[in-house]
Amino acid sequence: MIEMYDVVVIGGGPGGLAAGIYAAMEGASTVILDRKKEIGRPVRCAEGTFFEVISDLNLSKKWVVNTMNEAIVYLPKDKKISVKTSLEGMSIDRVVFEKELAMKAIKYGAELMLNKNVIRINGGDVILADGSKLRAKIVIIADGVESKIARYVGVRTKLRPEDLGVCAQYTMVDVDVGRHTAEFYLRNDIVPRGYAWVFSRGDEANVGVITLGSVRRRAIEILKDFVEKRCPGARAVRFTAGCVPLSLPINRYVVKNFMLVGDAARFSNAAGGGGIHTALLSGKIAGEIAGKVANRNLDMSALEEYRTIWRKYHRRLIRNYYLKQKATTGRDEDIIRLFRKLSPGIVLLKLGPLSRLFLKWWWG
Amino acid sequence: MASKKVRHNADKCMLCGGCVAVCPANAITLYETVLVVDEDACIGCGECVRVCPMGAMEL
Repeated sequence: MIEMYDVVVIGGGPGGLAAGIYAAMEGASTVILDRKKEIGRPVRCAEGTFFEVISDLNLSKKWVVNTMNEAIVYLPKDKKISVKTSLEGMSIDRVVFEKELAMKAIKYGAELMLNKNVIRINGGDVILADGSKLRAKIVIIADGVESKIARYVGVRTKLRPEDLGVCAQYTMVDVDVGRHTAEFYLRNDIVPRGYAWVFSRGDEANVGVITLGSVRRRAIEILKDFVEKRCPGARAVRFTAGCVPLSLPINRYVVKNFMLVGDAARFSNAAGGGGIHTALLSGKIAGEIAGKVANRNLDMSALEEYRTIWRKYHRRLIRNYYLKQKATTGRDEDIIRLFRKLSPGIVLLKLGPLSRLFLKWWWG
Repeated sequence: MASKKVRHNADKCMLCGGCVAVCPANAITLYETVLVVDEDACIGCGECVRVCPMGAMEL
């Protein structure tokens, strides 16, 4: 027997869950499929984020582990910038966060199916590894950085190694860092063509590195050296590895009855490596439109509205890609040049030009 | 066509999915707790070996 749905969402990360929530909210029969057995695990993320693009969901915030209102940026030639901002960054618990999103989706009437591997898509038919089949009016593709599903419908999502951000991270105790501080190390001698971070989580901290896939040194080795320098006495309570697309966003993100969201569409900030906010936002927009189109039985061409709304964010992602290209040459002068308008030393600003530039770099 | 096939070391693998993203041959699939390389599809290009943060891929 084939089960029929208005909207099938493939992938239960932030993008897929947001899509599922908003599609269900529009009254569409919606199912979210995830290959994993538990939403949110394994964590493959630095768990630092900024914007609340889904504030209309009235989420509990129990996943906010800590807030960060100070960023310290370490640049080459021992330059250091401190940014105090009235915009609060957050350290979050990705597992708790995604589970709350999943509960919202269910509350709005979406179904959640775990441990479901999609092996093929044929028009509206989604074929699973266990032999079962779902039929959808609209398929939202949200399978993350792997982005394998889109290839089944002819969208080229293969990334070049230099367009893949490769991360390794320890969650550590006994790290000497300000309680509400995020540190960034943009120095090629510490991380070639990338950066290191320390995000305070209150009693613990996420200490991690991101480099390009084309860099010869393994992210795990770079991380070990960084920890040795930055916090040799700290102890790890968790190890995380993850990847993020640092490429141009995909242009064909609406194809017939398929819509791509989040990392699967390469909608992540290539300059900073953050992807949660772009996943939530694209998921929300795509979900709303899919729900509306399916529920009112509109022609599939109405899905193009996603392109109309997303266009302005798309342009920002493209700009951030070129910013990343300038920042990851491996030459310290190029990093200095990007920050050249800023005076060395410590600057305190409340959303002045510096913190705006910084936020642009970090979050797009 | 390259004769070498990639070997995957499951003990080192963190299931991050980077290799899947760069594989030009669609030869890698990520399941719940295991990553599977389709040896017939693998063209031995080494892209996954380059990007793996853990050094879990070998040619």
